[in-house]
Amino acid sequence: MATDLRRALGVALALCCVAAPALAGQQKLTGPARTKLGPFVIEAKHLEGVVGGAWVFSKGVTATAPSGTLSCETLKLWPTKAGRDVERAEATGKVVVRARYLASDQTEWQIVGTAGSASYDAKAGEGVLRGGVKFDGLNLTTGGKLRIGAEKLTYDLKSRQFRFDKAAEKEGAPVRVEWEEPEQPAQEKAQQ
Amino acid sequence: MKLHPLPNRPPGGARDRPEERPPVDRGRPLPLALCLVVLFLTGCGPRRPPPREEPKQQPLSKAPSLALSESVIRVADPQRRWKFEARSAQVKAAGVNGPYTLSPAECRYQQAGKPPVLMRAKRAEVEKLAKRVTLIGSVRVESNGWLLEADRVEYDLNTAKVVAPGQTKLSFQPAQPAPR
Repeated sequence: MATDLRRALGVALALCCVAAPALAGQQKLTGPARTKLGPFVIEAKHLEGVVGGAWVFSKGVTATAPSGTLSCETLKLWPTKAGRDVERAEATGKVVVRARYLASDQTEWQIVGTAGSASYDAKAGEGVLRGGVKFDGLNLTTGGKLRIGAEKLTYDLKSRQFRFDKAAEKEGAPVRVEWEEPEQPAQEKAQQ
Repeated sequence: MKLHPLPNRPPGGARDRPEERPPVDRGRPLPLALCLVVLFLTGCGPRRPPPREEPKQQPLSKAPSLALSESVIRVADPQRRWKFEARSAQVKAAGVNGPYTLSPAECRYQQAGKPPVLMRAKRAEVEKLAKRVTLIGSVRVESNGWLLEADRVEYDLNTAKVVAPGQTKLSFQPAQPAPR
C-alpha cells in the first residue's frame, strides 16, 4: 500500500513537471519556461472584438495549439499592446483542456482537464483552472491512470509546476488523488 | 391670401360721440379667424425641433445608379484617426455617397500608430456615411500576425469594432524572434 502511494506521488510529481510546459504551449521540456503562447487557432460561431482590443469568442469555442486543445462556451482574449502575443485569456463555461505530453521518463501522457473556468495571465506567468477541476492523466506507455479532483489548479509557467487547491471555504472538498496501477501485460503474468 | 379691410370708422374718437357708435359687424371676425388659422397651419405655429440628421443610405436592393470598374473607394475620419480604402474590379453604387458594393473586394484599414488591417472578401458593402463596412463570403482579415477567416464580418470604421456573426476562425502566428 505504502509502495503504491509512493509510486502514485512519484507519478503525480513527474506529471506536474512534464505537463506544465505543454499547457503553456511549449513542447521542449528543458530550458527556461516561456510565458508566451505559441501559434494557435480559435474557432467559434460568433466573434466580437475591437482591433487592438479584446476579442470575445462565443458559441462552441475551440482553441487549438500544437500542445493540445481547449474548448469552452466563451473565450475572451486580450492581445498585448504590440498585438504580437496574448496578454491575458479567460475561458468560461464547460472548459475542457486536452493535451498529450512526453514525460521526463520518456513516457507519453494523455491529459484531460475539465473545469468551470480557466484563465491565462502572461504577466503573472500562470494558467489557472477553477471550479470543480478534474484532471485525468493516462500514461500511454504503461497504461497507468492518475485522477486528481480539486477546486483550483494553478500552473506556474516559470517553475513548470502544478498546484492543486481545495475551495477556500472550510466545507470545500479536499484535493483528491487517485492512482490506478497499469494492468500487467499477459507475458509478465505468464512468467509469474 | 385675401386681406379684409378694417371697418370704416367715423372721424373722431368714441369718447366724443359715444351714443353714435356704429353697430358691430358680426360677419367680419370669421374671415379674420380663418386667416389666423391658415397662418398658424402654414408655419406660424410653435417652432418644432429640427429633425435629427442621420445618414440615410439607400437600400442595396435598389437598382444601382452607378457602375464603375477598377475603382477605389476611400473613407477617412475627419479627425484623422483612421483611413479606409477599398479596391475592386467592379463597383456598384446607389448614389454618390453610396452605399457601394464591391465584388470582389480588397480593403485596407489604417489606424494612426497601429499596424494596417488588410481585408479580402468575395463582396464588400461600404457605407460611406455610416462609416461601416460589411464583408461577405470567404472573408479574410489580416493584421500583425493575426488572420481572421469568416463567412461574414461587419466592421465599424469609427470604433474599429469587428463582429463576425457566423462561423469564425482566428489564427495567430507569433512574431519570430530576431536571429542573433
